[in-house]
Amino acid sequence: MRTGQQYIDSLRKRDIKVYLKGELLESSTVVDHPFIRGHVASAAMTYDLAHDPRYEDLMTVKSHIDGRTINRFTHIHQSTEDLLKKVKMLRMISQKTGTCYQRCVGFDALNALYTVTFEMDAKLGTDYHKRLQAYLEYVQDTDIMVAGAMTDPKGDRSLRPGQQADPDLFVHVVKRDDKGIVIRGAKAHMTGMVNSHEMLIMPTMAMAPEDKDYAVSCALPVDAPGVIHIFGRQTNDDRKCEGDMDQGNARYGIVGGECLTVLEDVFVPWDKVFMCGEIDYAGLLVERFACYHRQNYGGCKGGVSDVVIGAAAVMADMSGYGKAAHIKEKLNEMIHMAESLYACSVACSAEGKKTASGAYFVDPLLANVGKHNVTKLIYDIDRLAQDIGGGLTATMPSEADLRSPVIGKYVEKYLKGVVSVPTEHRMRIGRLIENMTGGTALVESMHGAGSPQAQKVFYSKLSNLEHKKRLALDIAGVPVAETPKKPA
Amino acid sequence: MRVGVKFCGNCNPLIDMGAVLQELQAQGSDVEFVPWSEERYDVLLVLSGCGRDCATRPDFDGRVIEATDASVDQMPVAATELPEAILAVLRAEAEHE
Repeated sequence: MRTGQQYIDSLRKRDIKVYLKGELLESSTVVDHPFIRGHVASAAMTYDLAHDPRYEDLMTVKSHIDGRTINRFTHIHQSTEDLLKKVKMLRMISQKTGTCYQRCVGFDALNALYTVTFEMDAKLGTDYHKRLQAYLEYVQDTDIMVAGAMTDPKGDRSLRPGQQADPDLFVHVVKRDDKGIVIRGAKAHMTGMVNSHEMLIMPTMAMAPEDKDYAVSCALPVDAPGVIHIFGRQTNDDRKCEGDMDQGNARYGIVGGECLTVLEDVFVPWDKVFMCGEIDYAGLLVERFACYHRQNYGGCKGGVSDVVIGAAAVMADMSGYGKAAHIKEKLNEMIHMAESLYACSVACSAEGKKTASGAYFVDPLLANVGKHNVTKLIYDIDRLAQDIGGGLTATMPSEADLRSPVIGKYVEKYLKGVVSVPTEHRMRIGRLIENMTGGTALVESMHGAGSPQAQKVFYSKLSNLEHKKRLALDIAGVPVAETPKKPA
Repeated sequence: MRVGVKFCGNCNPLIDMGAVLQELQAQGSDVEFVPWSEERYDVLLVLSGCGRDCATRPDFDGRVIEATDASVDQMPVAATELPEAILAVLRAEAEHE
């Protein structure tokens, strides 16, 4: 297993093309750019913690392939206990980084593909599972970071891939020969992509017969010829070019350092292709990946919320209102919501089941309900943090003002709370609340792992409303046979 | 072939497995379905009302076939095709024996 430093050193060896604010970055120093280095440090945590005996029970596991110890982020779940430990691991890491560490996306892509390629081969006689197993062995051997790449730009949402004015708005195969395929298109919102080694491409939705070229899944290096990454902007990101205080979380950043990844006629050899035209399995792969990924959110956002709750409580103590009854009430409300998020992730893991491949899959209904809760409750948790934090979190002067030989004394004097607490400490907590509870951080809770409507569609489909109607009719004494049919 | 049948308990089912068993009995005249608590049968069939497939498995040394609302032995099957899919597996098992 790699250490965090070995992971960072290995990233310097890539020939990756990352554009940021219109400029191409030098590939060996991409990891040092102020906009990117926090995300790198956060991902490095997933490597370092695997070497710490305090966390090894969550961070490491025996490979089902050969029994050696591997980083859990490269593992295929072999039991419901594995699914539960994944959630606990995510909460634990989030408590240390206060943000996303990006590595779960590739983890979920590997597990989703592992189950779907097995079922595809059993039905169609293809050999994708064997290829995926070989790729998995490579990932476990090298402990590389793999970015999961699902979301296409999608253009006009009312049109299917092949109906778009521009055919490249969904990733598709433009050429096939005996050596492999050539793909073109782009993937949007790519978490951790610029600090990964490889990416796993998956289709973005179920495909129709006319969309055959769009049903494609494959693995490729992030620095393969034809791959270009355009790094996304975040709220307050220029603060990263100044001191560390105003960033709030200068060490690890906010969310995952997302980018737009352009694939301009990229060659992929056949041994790295895991789906090519099997339209009936594109939707299944999307569902499996989405459910694995939605499982995560009560773990990772639970851990992030632990930090937000702590920050709100500390701010109250530093300001002298920590013992007020309404503050305690608000903190309890935040705790209740954070633990409710965690409970859904635990539940969908405990109710997971074995697939035909032997890998375990989460309960899809509970995974989707859990992620849908995240799209609401994180806003409520963060709202209460801002309530407790006070207006200061949005109006306070900068670190430069605090350090100023001229006006620093005024910042020091007038931003003081409880006399025993240094003003700088109170300002740091205020900035942490500001940056963790607004802008980019909130939008990620809404749309990461799919937008709320996607979860609603999923749990509506799985909830069996007709069964609930029959239960009510039976208890009310209404003969079921006499009930009106659902309107067509 | 004697098939022992065990239901999951049906806490919040997506399918009426009682009706599925009736359909199996109607279509599978070559198969005898008995409760799992009986002493002797060749195959154990676990019928689960949803994908959680959480029925406690009794001690049984032979082949266990697991059916949920959407799968037979973990392979996806449409709910409408479930009885036919289960019978196909049972008959393949009988031929194998």
